[in-house]
Amino acid sequence: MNPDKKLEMEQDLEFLRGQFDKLNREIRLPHSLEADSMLKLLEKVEQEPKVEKNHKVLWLKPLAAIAACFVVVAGSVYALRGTGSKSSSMVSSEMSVSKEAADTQLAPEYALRALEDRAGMGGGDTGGGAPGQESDSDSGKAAVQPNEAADDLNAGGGVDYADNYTQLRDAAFRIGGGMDRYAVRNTEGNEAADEVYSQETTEQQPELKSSKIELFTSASLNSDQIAGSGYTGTNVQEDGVDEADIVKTDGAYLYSLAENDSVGSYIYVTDAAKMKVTAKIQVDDDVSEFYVSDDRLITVENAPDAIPQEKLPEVTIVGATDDSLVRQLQQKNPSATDQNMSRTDVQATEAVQVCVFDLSDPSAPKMIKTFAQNGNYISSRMESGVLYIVSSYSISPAFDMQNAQLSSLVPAVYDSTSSRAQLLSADQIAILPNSDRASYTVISAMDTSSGKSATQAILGGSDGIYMSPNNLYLYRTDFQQASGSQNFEITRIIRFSVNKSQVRLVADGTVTGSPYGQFALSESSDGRLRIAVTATQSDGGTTNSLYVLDAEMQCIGKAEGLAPGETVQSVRYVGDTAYLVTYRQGDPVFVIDLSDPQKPVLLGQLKLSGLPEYLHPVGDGLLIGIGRNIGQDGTVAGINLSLFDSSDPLDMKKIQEYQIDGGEYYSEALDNHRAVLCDESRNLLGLPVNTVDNQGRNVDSYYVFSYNRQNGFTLKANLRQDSGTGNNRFGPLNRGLIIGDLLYAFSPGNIASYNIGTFSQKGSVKLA
Amino acid sequence: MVVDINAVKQARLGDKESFAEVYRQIADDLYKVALYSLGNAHDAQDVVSETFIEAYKGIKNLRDDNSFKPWIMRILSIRCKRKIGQYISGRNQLDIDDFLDLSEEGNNVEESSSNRIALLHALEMLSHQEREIVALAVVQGYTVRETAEILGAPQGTVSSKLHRTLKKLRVQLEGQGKE
Repeated sequence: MNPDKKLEMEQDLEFLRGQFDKLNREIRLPHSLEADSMLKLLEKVEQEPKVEKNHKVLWLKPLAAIAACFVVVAGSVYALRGTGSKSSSMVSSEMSVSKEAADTQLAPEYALRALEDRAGMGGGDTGGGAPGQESDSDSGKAAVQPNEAADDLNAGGGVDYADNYTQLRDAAFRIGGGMDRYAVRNTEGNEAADEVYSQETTEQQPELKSSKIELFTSASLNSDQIAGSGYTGTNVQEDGVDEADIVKTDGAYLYSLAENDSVGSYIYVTDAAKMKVTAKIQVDDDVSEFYVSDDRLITVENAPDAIPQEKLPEVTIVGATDDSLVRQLQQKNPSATDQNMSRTDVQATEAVQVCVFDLSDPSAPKMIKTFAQNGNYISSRMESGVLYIVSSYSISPAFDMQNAQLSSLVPAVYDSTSSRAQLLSADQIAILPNSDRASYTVISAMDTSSGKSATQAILGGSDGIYMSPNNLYLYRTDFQQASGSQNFEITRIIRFSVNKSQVRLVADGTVTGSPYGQFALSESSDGRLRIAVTATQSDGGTTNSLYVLDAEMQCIGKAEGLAPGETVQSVRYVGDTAYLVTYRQGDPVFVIDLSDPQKPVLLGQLKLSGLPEYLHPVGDGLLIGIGRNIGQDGTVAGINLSLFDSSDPLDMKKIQEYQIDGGEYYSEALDNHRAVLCDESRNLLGLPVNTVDNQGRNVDSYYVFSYNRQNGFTLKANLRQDSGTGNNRFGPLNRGLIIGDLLYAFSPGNIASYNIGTFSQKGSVKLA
Repeated sequence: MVVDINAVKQARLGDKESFAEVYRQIADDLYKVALYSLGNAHDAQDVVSETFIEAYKGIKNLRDDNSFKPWIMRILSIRCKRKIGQYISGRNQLDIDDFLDLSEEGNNVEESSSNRIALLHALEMLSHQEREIVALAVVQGYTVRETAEILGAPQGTVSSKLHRTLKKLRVQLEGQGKE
């Protein structure tokens, strides 16, 4: 976070703490929560039959060179019993190192023996048999299987596009609480003729939002391509699927987004060879990231005013459907009659705005258009010149008002090349059954050359996205009451096939548990989706699983019950192998073989002293982990780089754990994979690092490491950009990239170039 | 409130009285965070007592006596999350009565309680998770890093969420004067 934002946050905190002070003093601990009452409660609980829980913690026996322990499990052997908090026993699925296992070279058929059930609860959940004999009925009995859960949720069919606005209105009404919310029980209204209200008139040339673009050089300045112009792009999850970031390059120019002191936010266009800023584009402070692709620069931001009320069609919900619902509600609540509700007191509608610039002359960028869609920005991707934008739009229409606007029910888009905003038509909106989120996920695909876009939405919402080269997946986690009245996290995954601007809803499915982020999902080369999740159990404990779904999002393979009590921290899929790290005891890396999608096989695990939060495969059978150190006392701090030899999945070795310890070391790379620079051709790894010195001042650096199989990591450079005043006036170093033989390090106020090898500084340019 | 580390140690070794002592020291904080996150006293009480029991059972596994407070806050956070999962989404209501001690008399009761009510209305605009972040960072004074640990979320995410939430609140509070 840049210093200005930090300062602002400090000020806001100060202000709000003052506000809360009075309120806090009022809050009294209820009598029932006082220590004595709680002790009594404890006695009561203790008198109930005790159940031993198996909290066996797995500590790998230290194995010197062969650091992995190999217990191989066939198929989906791990079952959970989660039927009730009193009777639950956690079947330990930890892989213990059995002596035989450690000594023998295991073939995948080796059967598991390690499931011990100390609770003595019996039952046949442990799959001790040979592979292929795993009994589905046993493991299915008490475990929550994805398909079971799916059946609960899917009663009534899958996702489908709406037929008309009436159907949409009724679905939204139901999802938002329905009649209960209005204390009414009733049947649904009549169908009415549907009319599409999206208007498209292009008579007038609309006013383009003006963007200040400053040019620093005459248009005749040419940029020499840097010799050997191989360059590093943003570190993305999937090759070919670009993700937005704050720094981009096309090999000739550097594009960096920066907010500088009182100057505002700009994207600076810098000639990389000449180290001269050729242009700067002023952008809103809310622009968080952007893309550069084929002569286009595209910024993304949350912009609440981007779809002004007056641009929206003036249609009421009643006008687009009928007044049956309004009448029912007003019957029940007669005081809420035809109020002339002023729509100006509606909260500004959330919207994501995209601005497209023409970069055919990078010394003179031109704004082409803007495009906005309702909702808060979730994420975006770019592939082959098409931009995919996903946002989440919450609604709470006043269903009992005659003049409630259709725009409060239906998402809208606003393309600056039209004079009006457009509401999505009903057949552009799919309805997710059994959802209880009154929100839409809005998805647009925009061809950035032509500027044309296509938008659709799903009523039911989502939390995040994962995109492979061919498919876009939305995922959403809800808490559901499964049978046995325990809460389970259920994640629904919706698959859209992607073919340029064509984004088509194909299938949806569910799994138990929730993924920690985009890296928990991965599509295999044959189109299957792998997802790693953590599920909270009835007693507050957790368990972890990996599921394989087919193209229809049906579960075809699973490995469940991994590391009970921990949570998935990071995952990476490399071909048919998954590497999974959990936290909080032992922090092992699990290695799972997925070559047979119906039988994920746990090949082993490797104990680490640190906690990798991001895993990065590099060619040649090496895997890098970037994460934190875990102290003796369990505190998580500092930075830990780990290097693994993953060339043989059956024998994964740890080469080195490199610790950056002490003080307050932190790196954005720990939370954001795009801050990582990896040049596989040179075996170089770069990341921003900051810390605090003895006087409490920020120290910002960019570290560059080389890595290899023999020596692990070697720190090659610790790049700093002090401006001599003690405070880093340029702002923290946040990105690095390589073009040709030069490494460029970026901070909001400055870019410096270094010769690769010696890392002596070659040049620099101030931005602000 | 500061937690007595010796009491934590004794509690960890199984001494019930010490556990009760430690609980006494943090009960207020637990309740406040739960109340802000969930919005009503009834659920907040449920969650705190569940946390108590779980902490009692689990304290022998505590690795570092110094991290008792974030540890128990984490348990509370998970419990809150599950409780929130039971709410119908979109319903962020706060039970104002649960927050105000309405027995308070005094000259300024109208004015000061209207400020507090304004604050509560502003909080109502936030989601449960946003309120939890506010409870941890603003009310309890945890740093972003500590808050992230408690929530089990990446620091960067918490940082930007907090920043946005604070802004939201501030806009609400400053804007209310104009209406």
